[in-house]
Amino acid sequence: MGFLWYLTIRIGGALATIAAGSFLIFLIMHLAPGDPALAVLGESATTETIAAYRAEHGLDEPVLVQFVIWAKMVLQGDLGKSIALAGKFPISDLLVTRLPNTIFIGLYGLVIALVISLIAGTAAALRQGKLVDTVATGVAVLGISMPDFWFSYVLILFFALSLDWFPSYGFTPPGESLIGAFHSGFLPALAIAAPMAGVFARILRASLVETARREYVTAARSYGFAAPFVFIHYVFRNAIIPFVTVLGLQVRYLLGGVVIIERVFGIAGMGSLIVDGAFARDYPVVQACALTFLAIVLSVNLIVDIVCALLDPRRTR
Amino acid sequence: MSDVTLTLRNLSTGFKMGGRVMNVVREVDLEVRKGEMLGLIGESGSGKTVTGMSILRLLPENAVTEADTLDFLGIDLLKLSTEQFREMRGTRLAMVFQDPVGAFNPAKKISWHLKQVFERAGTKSPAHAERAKNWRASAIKLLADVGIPHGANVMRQYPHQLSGGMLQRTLIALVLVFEPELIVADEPTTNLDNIVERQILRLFRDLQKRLDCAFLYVTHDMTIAAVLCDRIAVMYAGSIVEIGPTKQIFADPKHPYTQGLLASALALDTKTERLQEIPGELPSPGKLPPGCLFEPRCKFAKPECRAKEPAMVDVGGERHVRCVLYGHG
Repeated sequence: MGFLWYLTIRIGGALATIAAGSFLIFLIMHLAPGDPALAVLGESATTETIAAYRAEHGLDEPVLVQFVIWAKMVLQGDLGKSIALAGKFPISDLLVTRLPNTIFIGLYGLVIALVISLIAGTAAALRQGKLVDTVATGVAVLGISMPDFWFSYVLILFFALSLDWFPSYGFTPPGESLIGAFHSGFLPALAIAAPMAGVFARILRASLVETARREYVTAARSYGFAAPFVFIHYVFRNAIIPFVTVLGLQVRYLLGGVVIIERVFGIAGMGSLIVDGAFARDYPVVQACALTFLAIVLSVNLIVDIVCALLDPRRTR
Repeated sequence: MSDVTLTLRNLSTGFKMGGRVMNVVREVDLEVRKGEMLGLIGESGSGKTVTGMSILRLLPENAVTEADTLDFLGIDLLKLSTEQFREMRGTRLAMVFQDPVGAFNPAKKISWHLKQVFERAGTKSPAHAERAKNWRASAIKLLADVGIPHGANVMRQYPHQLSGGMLQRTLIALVLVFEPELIVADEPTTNLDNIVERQILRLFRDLQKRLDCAFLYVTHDMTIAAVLCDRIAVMYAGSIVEIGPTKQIFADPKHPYTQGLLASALALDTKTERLQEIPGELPSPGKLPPGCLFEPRCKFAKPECRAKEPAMVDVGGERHVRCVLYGHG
């Protein structure tokens, strides 16, 4: 099985998942209590105006027909209009301003988590059972167990209010000022990164320790290769394969964290959009956000699968 | 007397477990001579692999090796620093592993392995350095020598794409690159089928003749030792119980354990490691019997066997046995 074949199958699988997922999202929104027509027109609406609204928006059609209409619109880039949010403007406009902020904060947090975990996990594995290992493992457990909203407030209290290094609230979008985005996004990114860094570091440490016991590592030593060479090309090179796999699975939690962190730091992103949409019973908005989250998770999983396939020749060749 | 390549005197190896050292190999005396193949034989758990790994310092960090003498061609291996020892590994002391599939880096192609080993061996001599420069051509020639005619194709493969036999041939080629003076092979044919096993054994014979090196062959299989080895050392529970030339040991095994091993080798499928001719189990390193280690399983056991562990007795003809039946040394 060649690499291209593998790629085709994975992309096909991702597309099938997104189709099935979008139908599920659509169905759940329909099963949710509350009539969208009533939500838009208000309590004072008459039976006639409601019926007229339903006919106009195709709400009287069977669910499957409605789904096909919606799916066609989505494929043309039309996610519908917001019912409740100010101005009732197209949701795609909302996404264009919100999505970059969330992706920026998410990637920022991911990079911070990766840098911390690569250093801490490797150091712990190399000094197994020593002080460095104990400290790194302890801090990792702390990072995993701290609630992210609480840690956010600790960061604000210390770095924003006491030291005044970073703003305590608000976010400069990367489109406005990239430096401003890195600066104002640092504390939220760090808050998202903390639990991920803890999980990543522990996984990397375990994977490195496990790989170091393999016979090929002993074989490499028996050829008299220098210790750093053995570590990089034999231990690390093979240990990152399971590490990258788990990393892909963690992205779901990253998105969950974003919802809370955006609230705490007042960032106009996807997380705050879906929360606002849910409170306002703005179904089209929630639906569009869920679909976007699904697309993000699937894209990340696809990227992770491709990276793993490139790292591990046993998967594709 | 022929040239001695490796001398072990009173070698003991243990593993640190909860503050104390559990010895797995105890008071081993061995000599491996230039141009000879010495078989180190025993059941699984008898300490034969640990002995081989101790010589090359390849055991994990919790292992403790002690010896009065660990001499390799006049070099005191005990005195070498970690870095000095690493320099010896590969170029002068080499190891062939039990599982050829597990001995390759799964993320790298065969060509990568050969290139690294040629470069590493290039430090040994000008001739090696020359070969390292044209490593690709040298590798194809070497692979042909170990019975892989389409070396260029094999080099493009990843380890998981090759059979165990092919990989074991390639591992032997890697050792050939170094041309070491001592090779330790740890059950290198256990995971291969019978036909491939025979081919690989022949290859080991050729390899040893070609390099004229000292060869320590670790195995549980008496039939392999019979066809391959010049001398045999029988190991039981971490001690050598009998040592001597292969022919004489097969014709007239002295130690009751060797007799049992031979009887079961003749009676049984040699791939299994259970010894039906000898009742009982190997004692675990933590609970060794007081006197002779084999006494609880021995059909000739006498009360005096329990008093203290017997010493090695010279029974003539370069043969030594650790058993009171042949005197007290």
